[in-house]
Amino acid sequence: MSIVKMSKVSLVGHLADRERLIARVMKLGLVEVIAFDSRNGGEEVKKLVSPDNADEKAARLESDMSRVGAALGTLERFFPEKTPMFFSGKEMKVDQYKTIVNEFETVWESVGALTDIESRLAALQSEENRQNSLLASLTPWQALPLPLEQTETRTTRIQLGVVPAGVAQEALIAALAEAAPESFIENVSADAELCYIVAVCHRPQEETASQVLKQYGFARVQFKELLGTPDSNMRLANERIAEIKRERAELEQKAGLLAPQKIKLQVLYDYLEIRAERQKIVAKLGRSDSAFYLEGWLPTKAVPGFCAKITSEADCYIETTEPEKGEDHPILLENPKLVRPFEAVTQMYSLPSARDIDPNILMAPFYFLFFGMMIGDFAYGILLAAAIGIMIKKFKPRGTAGKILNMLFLGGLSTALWGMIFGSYFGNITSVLPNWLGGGGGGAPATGIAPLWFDPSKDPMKMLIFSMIFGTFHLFVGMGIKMYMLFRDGKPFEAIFDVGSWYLVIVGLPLFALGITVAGLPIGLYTALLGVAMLVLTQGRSSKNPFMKLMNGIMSLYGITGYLGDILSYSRLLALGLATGVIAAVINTLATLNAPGFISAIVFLVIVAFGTVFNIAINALGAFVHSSRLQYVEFFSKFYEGGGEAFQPFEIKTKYIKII
Amino acid sequence: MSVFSDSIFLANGTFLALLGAAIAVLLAGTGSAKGVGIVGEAAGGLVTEDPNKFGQCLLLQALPGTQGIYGLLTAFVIMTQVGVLGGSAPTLIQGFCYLAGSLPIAFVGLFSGVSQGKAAATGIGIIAKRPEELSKAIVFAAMVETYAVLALLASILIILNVPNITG
Repeated sequence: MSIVKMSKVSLVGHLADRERLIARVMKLGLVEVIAFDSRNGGEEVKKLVSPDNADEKAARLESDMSRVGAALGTLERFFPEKTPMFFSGKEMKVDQYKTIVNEFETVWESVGALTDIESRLAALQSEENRQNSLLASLTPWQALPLPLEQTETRTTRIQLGVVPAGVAQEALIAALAEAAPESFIENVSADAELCYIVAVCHRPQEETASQVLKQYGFARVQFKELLGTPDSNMRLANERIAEIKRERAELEQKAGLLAPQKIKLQVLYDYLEIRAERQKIVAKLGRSDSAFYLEGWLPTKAVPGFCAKITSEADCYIETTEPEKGEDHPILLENPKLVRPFEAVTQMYSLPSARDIDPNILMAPFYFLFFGMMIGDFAYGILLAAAIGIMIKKFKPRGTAGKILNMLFLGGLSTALWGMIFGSYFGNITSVLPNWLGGGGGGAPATGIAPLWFDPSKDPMKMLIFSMIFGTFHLFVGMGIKMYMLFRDGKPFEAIFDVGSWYLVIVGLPLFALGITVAGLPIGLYTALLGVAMLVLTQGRSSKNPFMKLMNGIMSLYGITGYLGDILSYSRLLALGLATGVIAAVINTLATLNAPGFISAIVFLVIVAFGTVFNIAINALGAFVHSSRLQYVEFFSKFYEGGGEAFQPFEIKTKYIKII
Repeated sequence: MSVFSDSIFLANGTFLALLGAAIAVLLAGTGSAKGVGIVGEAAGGLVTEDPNKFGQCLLLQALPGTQGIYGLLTAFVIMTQVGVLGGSAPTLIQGFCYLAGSLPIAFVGLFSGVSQGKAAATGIGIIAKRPEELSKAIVFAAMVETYAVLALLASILIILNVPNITG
């Protein structure tokens, strides 16, 4: 119905009971804890800030969590498990959970084993990379029959090296033969960029030979720490790679044996997380030598239950106080089941502040109707509601995503409702299809299912006026909330003159324009003039100078443009509704271009199916966006402040397991 | 009048009406194509960093696409009235009126499509840094869309009333 009333709760207990009480508070999940050190109190307070290294304990628990998380990651990599789109935890019985908690020693062993496997796998991976790059560097030399460590004989020097592929080999050989006769040079292999060359020369000629080689761009290649021919080295490397593969398979098998432990690891992870969260809360408490102090927000109606349950756990002192007037408190909304989905719209804008009215219950009916009007087709509405309904059934989404889906589901129903009112079923298919099938059969063309009220595409002006009247009503509700808030805050003068006068102007002007009279009097004119007079006389009240008072009063009438813009903005109700209908008509026309027959029936079905999905998708997006906009820009601007912080109770939040 | 009606094109208003339909699709579609492209470029950068944001980005990218649809809509409504997909050939005056009716969505579609694209592209930045504020990014882009909706409304209202114009 509204913003839930909050009380500030203060709890003082024995230090010895702290862990137990904190665990209990967490399990109840009703309190948002206020950090003790956030209060201003200087040295006195600082001395009482809970010092028990709780932050360090939390950090230690979190590092344990990350170890377990990494082990779970290893398992996940080898044995991926599909998680549903909106995952909220596997369900587990308390007994089962407790059994696993008792087995934590073995679970930690599994974590250790998985950590070892992971680091071993990483080592294997880097070795494999090394062997592969060695292979790559040896491949060009594979045909060389010499051991790599042999760089000389008794009388010769042996050099391995590369020259760029572009170098003329014959010229090199000739030049070498001339400078150092009896040298030997041979091409071992070549690729697109390089020639791999072995050169042998007599020791006395080494200098000259090297100079010639250098001229031709020869760069020496050396293999240190390798013994034997390139071929034998390559064989060794290949054997090692095969071994690595075998070893990796073994490790994977070992990990496979641990796969059934996954659920236990998940329990351990959640267990650690709960403990870490508790330590973070302990860090927010105050303490003396023998007692601790907890302060937080608690929904007022939960106070008696909370006190009873906590005091039954251990002796402690609890005090609750109401927030001071105007004091901000965390915001929890409570609305009827049908309104709850629409809270998502408000949440996306901004939560109400403690001084606001919860706008949801007043906003929801308008959102529901606007959304439907902007699509306005019976079949589309049913299809949308069915598709969203299946998603909700299948994924059971929670949180904001769940709210939005529920809202779209309701929007689908609204769409179907307006579809009946406007006589739209897949657009104009109820008239197009019979005419197509019975084409040339004579008789009057079918007109389709008649609308319950009227067809906006036949009478757009009527729909335009209806949209604006509907919109004006929406604005009036928003202004009404503002008036209520002003009255509530003891400002009746502002309520009547700042808001009330505009009611008179906005109601009066159209009545005057339409020339409606009551008992011969132009009642609209009088109403509008009364409103104008109220505005001119009161809106300049903040100025001191009487002339400025009047000027500001007159200037305030300029505000009418704002209201005019707001009201015209509701013409989108017509425009977007028309857009859906016309796109549907395009689809139907395209689908029935050919004469009826077997093939054209298939064409018809394909075009209508694809067209319908496209039309629903694009217009549902449009309806969502523009219905939200009408709330945010036109409605909320009249009264809404926002800026509230969501109520985030200290509660058990787990990643994997949900205990039932 | 005789100068006009001597021309084959202007024997009646069909050519002018179809010219209007073509302009509506052409300009509004161009606006949307540019707008959607601008958002796509920005979104591409973000998705490179964080592929999980694809869905949210796509939502923003779809927003400037509506002008093109409005242009097509307008063209279609004209076609159903001038003997192409229904209705009958308009008179010369009616043809000019159809042309006039196509102009609001054509020009507003062109410019609002581009502007909405720019607004939505900055929204990509919001998604990058504060993904929970997606709705605010959408609202900024939707503010621009208002004027395309109003133009569509004007176009459709003009076009639907053309058959009542005689002459």
